[in-house]
Amino acid sequence: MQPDFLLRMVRRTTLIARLVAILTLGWCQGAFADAPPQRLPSAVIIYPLIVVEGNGAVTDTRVELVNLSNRAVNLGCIYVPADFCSGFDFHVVLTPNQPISWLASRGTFNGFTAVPPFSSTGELKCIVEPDEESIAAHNTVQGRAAVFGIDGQTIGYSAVGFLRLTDGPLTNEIDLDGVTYTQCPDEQHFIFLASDPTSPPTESELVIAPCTEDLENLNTTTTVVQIKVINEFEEQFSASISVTCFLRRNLDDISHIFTRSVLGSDTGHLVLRGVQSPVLAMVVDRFLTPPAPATAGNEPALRGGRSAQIRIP
Amino acid sequence: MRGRSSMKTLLITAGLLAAMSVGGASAARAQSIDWTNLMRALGNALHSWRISPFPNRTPTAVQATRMPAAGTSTRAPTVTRTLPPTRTETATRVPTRTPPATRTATATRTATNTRPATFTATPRPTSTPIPTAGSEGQIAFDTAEGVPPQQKLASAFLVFPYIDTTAPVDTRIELMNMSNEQISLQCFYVRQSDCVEIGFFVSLTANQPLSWSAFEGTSNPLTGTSVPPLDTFGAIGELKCAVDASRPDLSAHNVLQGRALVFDKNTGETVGYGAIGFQRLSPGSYTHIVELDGFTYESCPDRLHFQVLSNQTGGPSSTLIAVPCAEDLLTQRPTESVVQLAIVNEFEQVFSSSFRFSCFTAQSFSKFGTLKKSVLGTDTAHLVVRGVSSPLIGLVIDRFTGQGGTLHTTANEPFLEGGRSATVIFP
Repeated sequence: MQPDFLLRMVRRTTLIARLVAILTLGWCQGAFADAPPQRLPSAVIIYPLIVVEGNGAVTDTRVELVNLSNRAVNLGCIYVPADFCSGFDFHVVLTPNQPISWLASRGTFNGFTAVPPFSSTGELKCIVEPDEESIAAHNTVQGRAAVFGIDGQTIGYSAVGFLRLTDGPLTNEIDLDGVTYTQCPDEQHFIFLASDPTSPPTESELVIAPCTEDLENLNTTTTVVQIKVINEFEEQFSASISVTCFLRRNLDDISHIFTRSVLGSDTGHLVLRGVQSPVLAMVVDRFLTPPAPATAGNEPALRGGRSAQIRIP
Repeated sequence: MRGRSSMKTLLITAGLLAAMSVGGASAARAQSIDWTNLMRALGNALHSWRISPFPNRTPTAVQATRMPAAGTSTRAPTVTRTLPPTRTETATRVPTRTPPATRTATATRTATNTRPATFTATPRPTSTPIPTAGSEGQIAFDTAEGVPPQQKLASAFLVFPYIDTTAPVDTRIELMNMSNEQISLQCFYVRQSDCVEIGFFVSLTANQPLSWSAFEGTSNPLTGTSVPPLDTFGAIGELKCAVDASRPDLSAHNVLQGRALVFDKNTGETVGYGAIGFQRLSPGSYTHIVELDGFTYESCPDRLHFQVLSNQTGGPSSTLIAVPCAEDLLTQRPTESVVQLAIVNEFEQVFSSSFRFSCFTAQSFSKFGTLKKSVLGTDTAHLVVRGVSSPLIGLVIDRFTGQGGTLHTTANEPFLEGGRSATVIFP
């Protein structure tokens, strides 16, 4: 064959390959760059805030899990305390439609389920270990938690759920990539109440945990989180913070843009985005209803999706 | 012998060369060949043998299906195969297409009146598949059909199932525009006491957050937003908000999220929850009729699953709140429905209960013997809620005692299963 012909063939092949790649990429992005839909039976659930203080006498958390399917479900769960950034795991067995709950400070023991007590602040991850490879066997559970203190404050929230998207066995690599499981949210949008540092202070809190986590090799994930705040007059502010493993901080401590005097309105629109790794976050709303303080869990609206991986031991 | 064989070889070679040159020439003239006709002819030939490798032949099958409409025998495969008759039919179809003029006229008429008719007609039959208890009569153990609405995403229609302004309680309603464009919303409070609606419009600039006290309302002459109080003397009810999109694109519809904080000014008891969101699924303009049918908007959840704490004797009681998905605010006909409850304890034992309500309901757990810890036997229960004549949206207010007997209150939002159609008609 002549070299010209060969050259033309190579060029043509490259062009076709490029076109195919562009089309595939475009399709993939269009189809899968989505936030994980919530409140559906899921295969992976993450509780971003578990708090136990004073062995439960000061603050405790009631963890709740429910099997939403008509089959028995095995779950592998792992607590990740913020101070060690390493996990300790346990197994939960749920009969069809069974609900189960326990106090994090005490744990529970019930037949095949044994949950150890927890005595720190951190997160909890639970993954369905299905007995067959179908999606239906994976997407079966949901959960919520209520953090409550002796001062009467209560933070109730639903766990963030990820759906399994393709049939297959469970491996120790949980690919939140939009193919095996739904992706991690790219942006998280909150409406928050501006902090008022005047006496008595009203300070809401921000809780952030990275989506990517290697609990097998104990490689800690560190990510910068970009913060954008928009007030009621459409004026924008920004800030950023670095998160390693877990972060729980008052909004006012992160930046003064969360205070009413700087923000200029009662309510703000907060947008969070992890740079190196997508993150999961929640806000704890705190405000005064004289004479009592009021507290509530504030879950985000999710936008876009980005891939992350959780490696479990 | 050798001469003969060499002659034969020569002849074969010459023949081959001639064939190749003809082939080459024809290849060179390949452009001039009418491939479409050739393929069609080949297709026809194969089709007559019932082998049709060309997907383009499918239209013929469609025409064949139309034959019965013309009254011709369906069976006769010969008719299907014979092309000429089919083509004659196509010819007959042409005149039918000729009256587009008349159709345009009809279209103008449709714009005026036909639309409401179509809208009312479609949703109601769809929402008819009413009670159908699950297998073995247990609503908890049957598989719900349809797709529930995806939550925590930018939505086109929001429902806040619980707004309370009865003193000393108030509700802070929060809305957030998640798009980079200005948006308009049409909202309605619906009071529990008389099922009366109070409507208003909200305008949000790009990415704007907005919050107001439901007892006081809010007004902003700059944006044109004016929200009346739910009731002058305080009331309980729900709030529904729909995006009045400026463009038919989905990106102009799915832009909204919201939450509400219901708090007691004396005790600090707070219930904070996210509004249930429905995404628009097909492009089109906002018509004041929100079809939660799984085509125009996401459908309503068929069943709500809650994980609840059982009611302890002498302890605080949790509350179940439910509002119907379907609502006709145009003719002010309150939706009535029976609510079926299935309660599963930690030992997989099932109990059931039911009640009837209209427009809005708040039921204390103490009313249901089956939710008492002494009856249920476990601390936690799996509560499955299903509306019979209309799907529901709901919320549980968890109340329990903590360290030192302190009272704790928190919102308990449902997990959603299945989907059923419902229509919300705004005036």
